Amino acid sequence: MKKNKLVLAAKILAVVIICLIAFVGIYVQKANKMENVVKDYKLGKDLEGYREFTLKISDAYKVLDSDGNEVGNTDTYDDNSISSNKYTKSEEKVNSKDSLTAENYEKSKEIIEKRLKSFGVKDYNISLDKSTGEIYLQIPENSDTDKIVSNITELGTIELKDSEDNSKVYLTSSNFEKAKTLYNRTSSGTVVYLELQFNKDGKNTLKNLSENDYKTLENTNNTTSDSNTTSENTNESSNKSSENNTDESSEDTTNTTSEETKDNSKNAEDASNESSEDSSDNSSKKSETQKKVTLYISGNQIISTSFDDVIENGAIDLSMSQASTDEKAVSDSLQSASTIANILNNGELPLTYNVDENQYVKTDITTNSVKIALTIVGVIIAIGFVYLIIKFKLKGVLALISYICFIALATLLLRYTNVEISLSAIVAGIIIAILNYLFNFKMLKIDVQDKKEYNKTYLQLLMNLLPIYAISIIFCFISWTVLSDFGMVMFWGITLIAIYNRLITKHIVD
Amino acid sequence: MKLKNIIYIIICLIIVAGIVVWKTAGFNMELQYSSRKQIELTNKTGIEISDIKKMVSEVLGNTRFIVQPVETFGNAVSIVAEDMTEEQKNSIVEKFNEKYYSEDSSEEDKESSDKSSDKKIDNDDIKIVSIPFTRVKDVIKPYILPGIITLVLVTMYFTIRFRRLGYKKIFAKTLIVPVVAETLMFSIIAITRIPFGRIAITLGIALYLMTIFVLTNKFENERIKILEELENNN
Repeated sequence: MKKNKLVLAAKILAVVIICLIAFVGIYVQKANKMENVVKDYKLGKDLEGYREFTLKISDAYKVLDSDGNEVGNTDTYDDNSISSNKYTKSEEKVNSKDSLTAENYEKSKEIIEKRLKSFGVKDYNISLDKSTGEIYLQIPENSDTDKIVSNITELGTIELKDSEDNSKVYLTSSNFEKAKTLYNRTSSGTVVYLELQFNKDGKNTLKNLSENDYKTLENTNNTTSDSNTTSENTNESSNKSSENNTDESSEDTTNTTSEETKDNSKNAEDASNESSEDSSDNSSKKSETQKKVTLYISGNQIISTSFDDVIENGAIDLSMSQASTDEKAVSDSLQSASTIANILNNGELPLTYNVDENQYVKTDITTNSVKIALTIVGVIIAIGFVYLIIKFKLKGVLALISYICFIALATLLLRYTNVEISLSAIVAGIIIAILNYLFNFKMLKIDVQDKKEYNKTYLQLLMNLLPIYAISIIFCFISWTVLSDFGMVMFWGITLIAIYNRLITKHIVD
Repeated sequence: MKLKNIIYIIICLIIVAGIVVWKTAGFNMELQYSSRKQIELTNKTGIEISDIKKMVSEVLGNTRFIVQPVETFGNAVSIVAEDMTEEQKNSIVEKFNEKYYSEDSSEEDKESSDKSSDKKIDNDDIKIVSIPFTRVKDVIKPYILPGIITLVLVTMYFTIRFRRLGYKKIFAKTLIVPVVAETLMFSIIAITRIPFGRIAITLGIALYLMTIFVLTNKFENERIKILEELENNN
């Protein structure tokens, strides 16, 4: 009898300790400050905050170079830079009046939504003002948010033009099929590629270009080596851009890569010129006759090149980095390539947009209102336990103690399994609390010491939970935070109900 | 049996009424999803959200609004309201200036009076931004496919596990009950004009799971009964 009392006291003490850890925490002194070492909750967009921004239709004018080729718009070039570069401001707007239609607004919204999904945004609120074309967005705040915001308005166009005569457009977005990210491991490191795959027409055009006009001239060794240099410089620039992105994660990955590549293309051209000066006049003349194509992505010049080999498969592979063994650099290059691929694969924006009113907004749901909701649920469950105590006396009290310990363990589990706590997670938590109450109620009704009966009832209860357990697992894999958070809490909750009641509640009530 | 029929009739009436309300007036969307007006106010010293709520409430009256801190420095707020006129905005700005700048100027000893007036927000500097509404279709879109997938899987499981109860009955009940329960809940939300938004959606998911749980219990009990009857007969 005395031993039983001691065991019970030990069990209750264990419960109290678990509850203290979960509800109060473990405080240790760190730099003259008491700090809770128990992991904190990871709050979701609903309870923490989100980034909100508006995409406004650009009112900019096109900016042209001395040859009349479009080089940008007045959003990116101010009057000073236009005059210093000897560019001219066109009378034509980037978004013509005819393009400002409800159809294009809707199409832009759809493409933006697709891009958000491919960027891995798991919760967003998007709305469109059909009269102005403005798109309002709310997305979760995390380390990728700045990158998403800066890339979301990329046009997603792809063009292959003659490098000298921009009126000669060989491939456009209509010829584009898909883009994918590839990498190749060599002895000197990993090289990341962006593969641009073109459709049947594009394939034929590429084959034709690569075996005729734009084939690298065989007898111009210097040019060929220059062409290789171009490629190397491009790689180097991509590598540099990766490093830049590491330092300043908020930078526009796409632009950085393309712009620096563009600069290096220029460098390569300079290098080509220099080497041409050094070589004989004859080879210089030959190098001048080498025709090149220029690839533009979202209006940014990516690379100017000729073709060493005939392209039979309709794909252009762009190296995004120099061979590297640095995992971080490779990962950054992969991310850059995948961002460009995602933009291209989701289609071309029919209109040019600008990001406006970009800011972080804290949630309107206060901790106080969550506490009130949880208190109400707590009171309802407490009433339920009053009933259990009246009905089952001591067993009811022990079940209550076990129940509190269950809640404490569940909160610890959710913290250490990194489950994001959102509104849906809280509701799922309430369902788990109700299910565990029902589980306890059924178990109290039977004789726990009768093993056969206990096992039968336990199995029966688990079978009843099986369908919602399966649904929860499916929800966990849905890339939509509301569902995945709900699924995660349900999954861990039901798992805990099954294990905890078998191992702990049974022995406490026993 | 009679009571059951009455309940069915009431459910049907509620659903029909809900559909009529939804088709004619739509849902009463939560402010986060409805067409709204937004202004932002900032100062240098920090803003107390409860003060702003109080002053906005005085100006806007019964109009729905929310006040949210902007960025992490505690000196900027976003006021989002169902509707806001220029006069109301000016009135909020004036109250804001009274609250935060007149007090500041008195504390800032006797430097120059111009300095404190410089800090005040000018009505013209604050622009009302119109935010478009989010379509109900866009709000519920992410839940449709997962809902269908899980319902199909659960129906298949139930039809196999509870085949003794009659697979046609199980099949029909599993498909109909969750759909009716969801429709009923959203009809009530439409009729009672409870805001449709984050909480309503989450409650919809919870109701779906609870319906499946109740159905499982019901079918399991019926299955046990049949098995026991069979055992007794043998």
